[in-house]
Amino acid sequence: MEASKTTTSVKLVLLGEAAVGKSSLVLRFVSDEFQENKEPTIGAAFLTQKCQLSNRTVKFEIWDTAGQERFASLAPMYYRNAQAAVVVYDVTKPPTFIRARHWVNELKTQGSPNIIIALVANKHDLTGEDEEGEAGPVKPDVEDETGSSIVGRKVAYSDGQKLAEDEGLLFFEASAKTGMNVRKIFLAIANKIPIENKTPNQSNRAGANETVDVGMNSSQAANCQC
Amino acid sequence: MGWLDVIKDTASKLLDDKSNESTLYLRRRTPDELLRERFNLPEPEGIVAKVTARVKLVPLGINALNAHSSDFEDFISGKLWLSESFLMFESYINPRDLTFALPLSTVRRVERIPSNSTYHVLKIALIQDLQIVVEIDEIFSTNDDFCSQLSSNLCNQVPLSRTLRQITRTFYSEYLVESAIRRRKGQSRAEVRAALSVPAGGLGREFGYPGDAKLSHERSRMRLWLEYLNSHGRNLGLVRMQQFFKLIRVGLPNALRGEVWELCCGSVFLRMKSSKLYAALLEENESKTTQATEEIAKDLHRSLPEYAAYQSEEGLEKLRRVLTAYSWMCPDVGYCQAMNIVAATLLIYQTEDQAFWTLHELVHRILPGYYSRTMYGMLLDQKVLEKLVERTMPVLWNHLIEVDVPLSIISLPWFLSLYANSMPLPFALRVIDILMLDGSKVLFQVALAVLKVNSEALMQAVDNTAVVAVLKHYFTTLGDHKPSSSNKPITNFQLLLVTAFKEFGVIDDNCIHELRGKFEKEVIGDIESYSKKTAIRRLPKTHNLNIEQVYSIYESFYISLQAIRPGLGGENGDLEYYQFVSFLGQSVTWMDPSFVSKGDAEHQPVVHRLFKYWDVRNKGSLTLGNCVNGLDKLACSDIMESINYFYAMYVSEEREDTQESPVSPSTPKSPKVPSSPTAASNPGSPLSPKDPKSPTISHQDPTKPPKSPILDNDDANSIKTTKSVKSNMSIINDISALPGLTGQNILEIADAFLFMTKPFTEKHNGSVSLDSISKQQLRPFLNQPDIYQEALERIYQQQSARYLASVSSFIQRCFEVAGLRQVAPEIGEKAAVKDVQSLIDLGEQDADAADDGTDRRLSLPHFRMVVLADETLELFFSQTLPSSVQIKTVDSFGKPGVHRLRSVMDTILREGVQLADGLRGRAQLQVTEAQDEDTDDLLVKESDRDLLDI
Ligand SMILES: Nc1nc2c(ncn2[C@@H]2O[C@H](COP(=O)(O)OP(=O)(O)OP(=O)(O)O)[C@@H](O)[C@H]2O)c(=O)[nH]1
Ligand SMILES: [Mg+2]
Repeated sequence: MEASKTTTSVKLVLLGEAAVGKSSLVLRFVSDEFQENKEPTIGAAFLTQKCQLSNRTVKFEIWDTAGQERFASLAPMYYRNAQAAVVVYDVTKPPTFIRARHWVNELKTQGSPNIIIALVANKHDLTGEDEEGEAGPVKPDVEDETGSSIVGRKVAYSDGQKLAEDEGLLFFEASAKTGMNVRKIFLAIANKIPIENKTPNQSNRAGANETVDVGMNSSQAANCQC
Repeated sequence: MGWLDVIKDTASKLLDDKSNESTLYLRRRTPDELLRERFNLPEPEGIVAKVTARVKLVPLGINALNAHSSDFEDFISGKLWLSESFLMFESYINPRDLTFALPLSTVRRVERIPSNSTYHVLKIALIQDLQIVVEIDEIFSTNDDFCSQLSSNLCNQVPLSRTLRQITRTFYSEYLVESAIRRRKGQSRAEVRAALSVPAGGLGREFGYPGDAKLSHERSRMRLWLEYLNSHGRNLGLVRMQQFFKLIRVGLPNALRGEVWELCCGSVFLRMKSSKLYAALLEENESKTTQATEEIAKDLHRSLPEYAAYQSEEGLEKLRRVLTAYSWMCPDVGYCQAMNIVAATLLIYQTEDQAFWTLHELVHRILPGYYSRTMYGMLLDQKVLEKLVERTMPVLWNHLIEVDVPLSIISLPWFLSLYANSMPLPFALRVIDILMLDGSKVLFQVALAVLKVNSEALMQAVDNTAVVAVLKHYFTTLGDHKPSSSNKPITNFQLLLVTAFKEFGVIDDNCIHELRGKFEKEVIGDIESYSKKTAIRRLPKTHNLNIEQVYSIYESFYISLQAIRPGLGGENGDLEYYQFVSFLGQSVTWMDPSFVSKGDAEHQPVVHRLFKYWDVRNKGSLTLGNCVNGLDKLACSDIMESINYFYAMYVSEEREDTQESPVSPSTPKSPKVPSSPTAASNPGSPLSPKDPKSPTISHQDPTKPPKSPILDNDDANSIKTTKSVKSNMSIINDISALPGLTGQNILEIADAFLFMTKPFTEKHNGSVSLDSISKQQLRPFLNQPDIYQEALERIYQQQSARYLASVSSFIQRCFEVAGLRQVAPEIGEKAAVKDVQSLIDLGEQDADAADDGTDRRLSLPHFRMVVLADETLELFFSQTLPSSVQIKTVDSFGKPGVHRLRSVMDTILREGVQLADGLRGRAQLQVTEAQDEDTDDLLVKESDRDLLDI
């Protein structure tokens, strides 16, 4: 345990259309696992995970929210006071990108003033493109020789990038299934979190964290495993 | 009907409306509703008769008469109700001593037993070897009434009882008892199996039931149930006594679970009543897709994925069918995540048909509003839970506040999935068993118990992480035995239930009902303001309307839809034409509401024009975005843009006419087809350029607009909206390339000018808009109340004369410039009659005559030129039109509001009733108060006119 490093707690919220893979991204980040059939998130799930940076530790308190439209009115409860948000869409489903745009919009107008937002195009594995290579063009679905369909990319890389540039967001294409870029997302956010992260209404809690540091760490470690 | 009756009638309707609209829980429930709630009866059962009675069960074979005299003590006193098709009883001291709700079709015979007392004694024999002796304890005449009602209602049920066998065959209990009888008679197991077929059941039969049957003492539970069923009737004829409730508390045996669920929650009555609906819904909607079906498809594989059946095609298809059938039956609810988990759980124990109705009962009655589009019921109940925690565990509550853990966030999934995604399934099922019996209070009792049992650990928790960890750990250890001091060790789960029902037994339905009433306004208000904000954020930017105006448009849009409160999550469509008319009535000054309510407005060509032009999706309905965008354009005070817009609106007809136009501008059935030039919509008109092969008019009955089957989700809408903005813009940009105005168009525009500036005549009893020239003229009279009215009248006259002159010269010049036939002199002369209609009619004849085969048209530059040449018309575009966009701040949802009051008044007036001055004065006062925001603007209010009238 690196007790010497300071620990910053960051409240992070995941938003995006149903079934784009929010919970899967979190699961990959928190326990490096992937489940083929993940139950939909009801309301929201809460998880924590730490990120080690060179000079400090960032502890993410993650609110993974439900994606269905009708849960949207609950979202303010979750993004209240959030310092970071990950807005996810499915790179094979254009409507999810529009939804992502709406979320960005809502966060910008209703969220915390300096909220750090990462835009994530998930399910990159489905595009059949090389993870390292250039992003390919938008493609129609095709059938492979066995007759099962391969879903093509449906949202161009440039579309995501453009939205990110316009709104000042971090942008990644990722895959919860293969793990591609998942850690990077959270690392990039962690790096953007200012060191002095004690917003007035959190100073109490941060103080409490410091005094019970050791005890907390052990319980968190246990949490992250499960 | 006398006028007093009219008032009473309308007033009571108003009050009813008010209670329905603004409150779900605060209003007083009717006795019929209470009865249905008490016994989970379907609508429209209601109280036919109610008596005090003493009741005793007599299993078959015992002489009822003797039983009556010897076991007198066994009689239980209570209330006996008769409804259309049920006979119900509930004991006085403890309802659980004896309760039943028997469908009358299960009654085989009723005998009146002679008795020497004054009571009526009835012996009721049920289909399943059970007799009930009833002593009615009322005065003689009441007794007689009850009996005659009973017998007449029984007669009505005779046809049903003939087919009863079809439904009783579907109950496992029937099979269970029958086979036990046969076994007792000495038949072998094989013989029984050969003779009886097991009724269909849930997926558990094939794929196994969750949990360990041995651990849960499955066999002994079955024996206990069999014993109970033998002596208390079964399925539809089951009566509930103490033992019944105990048997449910300890957990239902797998084989009977599905059946007892549907009996407890009452869904069985629905299944019985509409036995074919489920299959019919599926057949009718086969292969249709909606937003709901897509959402269901996404979640199918994500419903109890660890249960074997849901890894098989069979299980998944069943689940899909139940959820989609539900979404067809209740499109307002459609599909909500978590319903998949609930339905998947039901299907382990129930057939599709049973699960379908049980799901309905859960969604509709037991957990009202939980799964609605706004989930208001869920949010409301989280508020209620918070309040209950605050009341019952104040220390813990304060601690949670201190460490900033919002309880509702944690408890929401518990409620929404009925604990199925928090507790291991076998335990969640036990909660569900009791939920089906006792309703939603069980969710609260269990939640409170969870907090109570863990309160020590929770008090130690300092943040979200720790709180969540405590609860997560707790749920995974529900099966562990509690190290207990008493000799009989109990599990965590048992302790939880004991705590829930002993300590929190006081949290009853009334208590929850009351708290819901307390918070409903706040919760629904929050939801509505969120959805309003969201909807408005997603609208394209407006250039001429400010945000307050957009908010008001939002309000009047929904009011015009006559939607259920948006907060309750009904499916709200788009504005149909007739709704648009009323919307426009609230948005522009030239559409007087009384004019609208009389139905005259809907025949105005310019209103059709606007509707068609705003309907950029060509769907025959307008979205909020369309309306905002359209009003924004009308409100534009840049004269060039404003002229362009008007021009484009009339020229664009070709674009629309070549496409299939679903809107009928005129209603053929209506006797009041306007004589004004509805050229664009008149296929016979020679000047309207139209493909004769494609009939452009597909009539819709405006009172019964066909609902578009699919509610576009917001995303789709917003794509379309963005597109629509673009297409509108492109029209503006390219309008110079458009072919130009035809003679008919010109006349229509003239008509629109007159309509939009016309002082309403007495006939319409409405308000008057004055343009700024007239306002200027009126100014000196503002402070002279004695001659104000007179001046006003005079200025209208002048204004209309001025417009008439301008318009007639407009027509003349347009025709000249376009090279259409010279019509000027004639029109000029005849305009002197000052009859607008004849002016237009004249022009129309000329336009017809002008159709000499050449396609002459008025181009945009010429149109502009003509308009700008006339001061009044110029003013029309630069001021009159833009400033006519005044969105009235109407009453918002929930308040009965003066708007409504006024329509009631209108009704009364229409009945030709002379009202007492005072009453009217008061009502009018309110109307003025609400709408008269801006006293400076010189609109003559109805109230002004009323001063003249009386
Ligand atoms: N191929 C592929 N599938 C993925 C990926 N991420 C998630 N999935 C699958 O997509 C489905 C939905 O994933 P979830 O993580 O539950 O989605 P969610 O966004 O949390 O959904 P809600 O909780 O309903 O809002 C699951 O069946 C996942 O297995 C990915 O990167 N690649
Ligand atoms: Mg999820």
